[in-house]
Amino acid sequence: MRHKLLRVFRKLILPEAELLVVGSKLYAKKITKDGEVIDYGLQSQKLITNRGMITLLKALGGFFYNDNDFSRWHRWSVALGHTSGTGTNSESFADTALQSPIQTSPTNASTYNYFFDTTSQIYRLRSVATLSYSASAIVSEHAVWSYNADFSTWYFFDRSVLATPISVLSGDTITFTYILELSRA
Amino acid sequence: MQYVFVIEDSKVKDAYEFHPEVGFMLRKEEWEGVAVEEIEDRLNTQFESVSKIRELGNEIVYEVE
Repeated sequence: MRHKLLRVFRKLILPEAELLVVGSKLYAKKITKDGEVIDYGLQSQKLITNRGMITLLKALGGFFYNDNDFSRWHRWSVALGHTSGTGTNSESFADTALQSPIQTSPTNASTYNYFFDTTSQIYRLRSVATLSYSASAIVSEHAVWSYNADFSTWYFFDRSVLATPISVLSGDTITFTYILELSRA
Repeated sequence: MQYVFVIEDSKVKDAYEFHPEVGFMLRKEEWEGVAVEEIEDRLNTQFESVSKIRELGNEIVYEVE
């Protein structure tokens, strides 16, 4: 008996690049009792501590109100929802929505987590969602949305233009994985 | 401003007031359960201008003023 094999293709992908880097700078200025101002300028460009990075990650994924009170959860989830569209305009810092959305209302991520890779020293937020298509389209843009459950509101977070637009027919799905990376300077 | 309706079984499952220029989408729970054929009439009672801009899949989107 022959089994029908599902074919898996790997299309052209972009070479991976280093992403966001987080660092800190400390400046100092002394004012003497006589009113003289001495600017010492930049005094330190240092690493963010583990504690600082963990605080950043908690802010990205929601956090308990108090480390000793696990009953109060601040319900804020960054990049929890996904939408896609057919727009091809270049990505812009001023984007606040998709150019030509196919889905306007975000689909919740099926997998949503954040973690610290102790080997690479990179913190990652990962959000995976599968979007469905009920008509043929050439999917060329993708957006992720953050959700604040306390206000039942989606906030636009980021728009990406696909390097390789994906042609879909009715009934097809696309699984998008969005990764936000923070690494220490 | 736009109104986005997610439809399931000919009724509104989710509704959002969408401000695309600022990337802000507020859930409007009072629309949940409303029949599809009632949507436009209800919008007309709340806004001066109502026009359907998209209907694709399980979503209907109106531009309202």
